Amino acid sequence: MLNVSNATKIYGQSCGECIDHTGPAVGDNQCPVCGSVVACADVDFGLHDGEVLGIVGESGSGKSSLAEILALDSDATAGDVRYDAYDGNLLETDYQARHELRNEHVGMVHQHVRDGLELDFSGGGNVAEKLLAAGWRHYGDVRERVEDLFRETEVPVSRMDDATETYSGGMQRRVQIAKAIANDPGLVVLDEPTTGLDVSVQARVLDMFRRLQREQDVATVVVSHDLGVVRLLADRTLVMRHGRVIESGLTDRIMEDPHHEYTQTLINSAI
Amino acid sequence: MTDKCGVAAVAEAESVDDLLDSVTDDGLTGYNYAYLDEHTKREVRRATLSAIALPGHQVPFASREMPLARGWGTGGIQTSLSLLGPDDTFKVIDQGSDESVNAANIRRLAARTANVETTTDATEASVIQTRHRIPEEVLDDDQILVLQVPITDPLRRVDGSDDANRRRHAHSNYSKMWVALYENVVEYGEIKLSSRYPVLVGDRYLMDPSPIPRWDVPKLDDADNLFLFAAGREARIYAVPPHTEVEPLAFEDRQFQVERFPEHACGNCGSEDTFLTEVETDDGGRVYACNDASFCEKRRADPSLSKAHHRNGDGHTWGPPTDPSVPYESDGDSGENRGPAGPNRGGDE
Amino acid sequence: MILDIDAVSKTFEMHIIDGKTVPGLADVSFSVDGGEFVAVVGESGSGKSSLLKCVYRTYEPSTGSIRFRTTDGEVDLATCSDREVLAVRGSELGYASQFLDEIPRVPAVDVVARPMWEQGTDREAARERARELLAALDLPAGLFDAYPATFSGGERQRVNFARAIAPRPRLLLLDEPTSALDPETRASALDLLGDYLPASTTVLGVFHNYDVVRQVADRVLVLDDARLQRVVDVADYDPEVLA
Repeated sequence: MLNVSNATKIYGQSCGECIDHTGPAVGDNQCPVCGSVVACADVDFGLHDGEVLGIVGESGSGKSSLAEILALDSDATAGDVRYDAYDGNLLETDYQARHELRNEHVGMVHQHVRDGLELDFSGGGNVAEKLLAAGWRHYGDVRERVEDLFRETEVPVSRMDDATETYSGGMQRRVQIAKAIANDPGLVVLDEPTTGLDVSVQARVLDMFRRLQREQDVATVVVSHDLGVVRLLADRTLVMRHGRVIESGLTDRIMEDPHHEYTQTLINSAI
Repeated sequence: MTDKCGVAAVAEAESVDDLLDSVTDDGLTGYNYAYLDEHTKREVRRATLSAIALPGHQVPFASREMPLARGWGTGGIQTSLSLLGPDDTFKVIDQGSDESVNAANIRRLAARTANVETTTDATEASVIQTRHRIPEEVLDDDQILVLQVPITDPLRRVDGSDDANRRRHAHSNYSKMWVALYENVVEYGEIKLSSRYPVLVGDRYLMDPSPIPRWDVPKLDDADNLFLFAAGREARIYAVPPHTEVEPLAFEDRQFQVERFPEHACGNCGSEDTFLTEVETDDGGRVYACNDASFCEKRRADPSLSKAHHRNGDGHTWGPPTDPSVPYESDGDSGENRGPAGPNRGGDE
Repeated sequence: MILDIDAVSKTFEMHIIDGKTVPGLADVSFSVDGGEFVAVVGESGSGKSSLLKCVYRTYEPSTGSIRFRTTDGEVDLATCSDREVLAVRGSELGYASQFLDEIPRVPAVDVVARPMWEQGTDREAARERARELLAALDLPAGLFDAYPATFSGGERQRVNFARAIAPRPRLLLLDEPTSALDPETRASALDLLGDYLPASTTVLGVFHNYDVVRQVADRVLVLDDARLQRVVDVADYDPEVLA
């Protein structure tokens, strides 16, 4: 349902040779010729309905840039992204098509709550926005759907009319998930879904999301620096470094039989 | 352009006294016709034409300093003065009244500098400048209503960033406004916006109809006349051309509603189908009275006068119906969803 | 024949220790018939777990083939795509590792039920079956709704065991599934294997305990130092005879 080839994102005026001058072999993602930063380059993968793909790597590895490209939150410099719900290269859509896709077909859960939620709206209002943007015009139906989504994501329905800024971090993350799945998207992108949450809350969020993900059979990309998160959610995993995918495979294989030197270091550094 | 004190007169003058001597008229003398210089008028007319071409879209214009503070109708005055010609008849209303100081002054400015007739009768005026009201009497296709606008962008209710809001307009992305309405219903059980009710114009642009009461909002839809909205401080003009669809935002199950005055008729003329305001009487009591003063006067003379009396019984009416017990729906499609673009998927769940 | 392992080797290249290579399995070949129970025995570090992990593709074999005859035809688990592995794991291949690896804060009964409902079993029916299995393994009913993270080693092993057999896979890989159990519970676990799983289930299991091997296995596969030493019928298996 999703096919990504050669996804590339370069920050800065590229000299045209940035990709040759960067990457794991060079040990950097900044082009020595022109100073551009190659956030990610030559990323290829496919995703089927219901699959969960993990993307791990340290800060600056390019994983968040890739997530933003997939969630249509930022433009890629080059590449080809095909998605079932759209005829053509997603990276070449106009704003209108992109807006529609983001509303109805791709859900994003942001690492920073302010990127994902309007804190002075109520929690329910934040989720309702997705429905309203998709053309729902019946207040009672919107209300009912938001209540259902709150129940599914284990946010107390009694809190849905309170301002989102009064929610705990874990609740805010769950409201983001409720919002991301509100229109039954085919793809959900989670960027660091547990970062900043208490350990006990992390577990509940992960468990809730995994249940929803299986029930709704939604394809998911999980981006995290936390191997534990990826291990618990993802069937397959990409390991990124210096903007490139250096290893990919079944998640348990990556964890127990890492091939690449960097992956071995990463696995062995996990606490 | 017919002033006696043009460039030639100035050049010929040998002293200031000479110049002052030439200022003999108490009318146009010393000013360009209709107060504004021709460049300004052309600028305003250009913006006005753009606004008419893009119903509901806010068009920027080079708003000039006027001899009164911005916020007191400077946008409306610039628009009116650039429209007026010697054959026009001008009416100015301030919250329903022709007699307020500001309305009287604007009317006098136009009379003196543009040499126009003035009137308080909405059916006789060719150009009506108004603040916060649309007349009760139905306007015609040869009339223009100029509304003074304090705040041009309806989205400013939900986001203070004009940059972000301009992007939303460009992409017809009004979900934030819908969330505000949703939260309004959560809080009050219905949409409680007393004025500046957001409307969608021609199924495209969200528009602030200026602080008219909800009572007046339905008059914008499919009207015979042209509506111009002008904000001097914000330097924006926008328009609703004749016969444009104007739809107040509302939910299928939380309809747009106008104000209701169930127990009250106008204390002066007895009307039950006009927008009433509560006024205190000399002895401390409270009565309701028509807000549209000139129509109230006509009704006092003839209580059976219809709002479309001057249109030879063409049956065209606007605004809410006479019987206050009938919930008002915009003409003829009661209950049916005429919401903005986007599939109605509300019922699928 | 359901499983045919041919010349499988696995070496680990340890980049961290200067690219040192460590052998996990060396040139292992054998095959297993449908319904057969094969016990894998050997010293610690002889490659028993590596063999199971290669079949499950948690380890990617360096060379050789692992042909598994699924209901949809044959796949080579050593070389097929990740997606094919996932599909086989989802429907026909089960694995009980030595250690329970689960999301924290999930009640024991849901840990066991999850693989079943992920295969489409109704949620409550799956929970019911999970409770039956945990009860058969003598796990106190009071623990069913508790979090396994708080359990003792033996209790966690029972949860892990129940989870692996719950979906009734056609090929079941067991890695010392009863090592932490007391003799009574171990007996219950072995009974459950026979009672719960259909006779057609094929099992490849690592065991330490000779009695257990004698009780459950049809054949015994002896590994030593990453190499296959011999495959014998259980009747002919003498643990005293080393390679």
